[in-house]
Amino acid sequence: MDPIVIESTPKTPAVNFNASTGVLEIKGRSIPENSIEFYRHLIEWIEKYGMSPQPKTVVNIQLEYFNTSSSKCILDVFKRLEAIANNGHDVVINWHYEEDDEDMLEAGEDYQSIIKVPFKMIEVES
Amino acid sequence: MLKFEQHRTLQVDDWINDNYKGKVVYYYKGSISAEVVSKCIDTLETYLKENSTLITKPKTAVSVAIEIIQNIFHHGMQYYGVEKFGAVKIIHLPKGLQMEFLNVLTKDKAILLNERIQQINVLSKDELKKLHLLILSNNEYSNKGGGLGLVDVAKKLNSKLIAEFYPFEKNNYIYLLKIFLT
Repeated sequence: MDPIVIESTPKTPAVNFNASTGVLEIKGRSIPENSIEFYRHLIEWIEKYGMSPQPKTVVNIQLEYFNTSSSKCILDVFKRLEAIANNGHDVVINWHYEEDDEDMLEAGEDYQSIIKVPFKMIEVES
Repeated sequence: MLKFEQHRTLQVDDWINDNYKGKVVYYYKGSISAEVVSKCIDTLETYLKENSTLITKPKTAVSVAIEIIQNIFHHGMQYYGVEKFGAVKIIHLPKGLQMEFLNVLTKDKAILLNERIQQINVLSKDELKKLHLLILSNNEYSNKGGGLGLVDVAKKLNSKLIAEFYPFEKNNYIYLLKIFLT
């Protein structure tokens, strides 16, 4: 399976998911006007990856800003990862947030309460 | 049904030209395109970086501005021939940052929005957090946000939303949302 690599733009995050390592990285801003269109490709890719995932899938997510339409799409990404975990594979989500960014920490905690996958809250320097 | 308190009239040009004796950070009146959204956000973000002591949570200000101006982008109506009409005014005041967003709504939407704002404004911080979580975890959504936007804004601001509705032509209203950050 070819990796999915998307360069960041001022409104969309960089995405890198290599099926051979099982590491998904999402970094930057997620404030597109059309979030569904941006995340559709990634969600489809994760669904295919979920058919034959690595024993452990690690998600590193670090967002500076995200709009509410992205928040729903990110939840959809996490639900696909939760399905992989439900099939007996290890999945961990590392939620990075800048120090003093309470909004982003709270957003991570919201996802943690919805998605039954281990979350690690990781504070990073701003 | 909650009471729909409407104001008398608003002269949009007078409103946008009133800087409240502060320094104008950004103002715009016209069609809200993706480029206008970018320009507003870039200008606000740059200004807050250059004036890092102006408000305590600059990222919250930018997040809130993104949410509201993109909401106008998605829902903005025509006003005097301008499609997706909206207006934004951001003023640096001595004690903080005033951000105001204006757009046009049908009467039905204005009444519903007013009710929603009144319902949001009576919620405690914990209740807002629970409501936000409930809407987020609801499966139905669209690019337009699915009703999460205003709750998200109220939760981040930790203050009541101040909205004004002005009748405009037959069955339309001008909606003005005012936010003050310190």
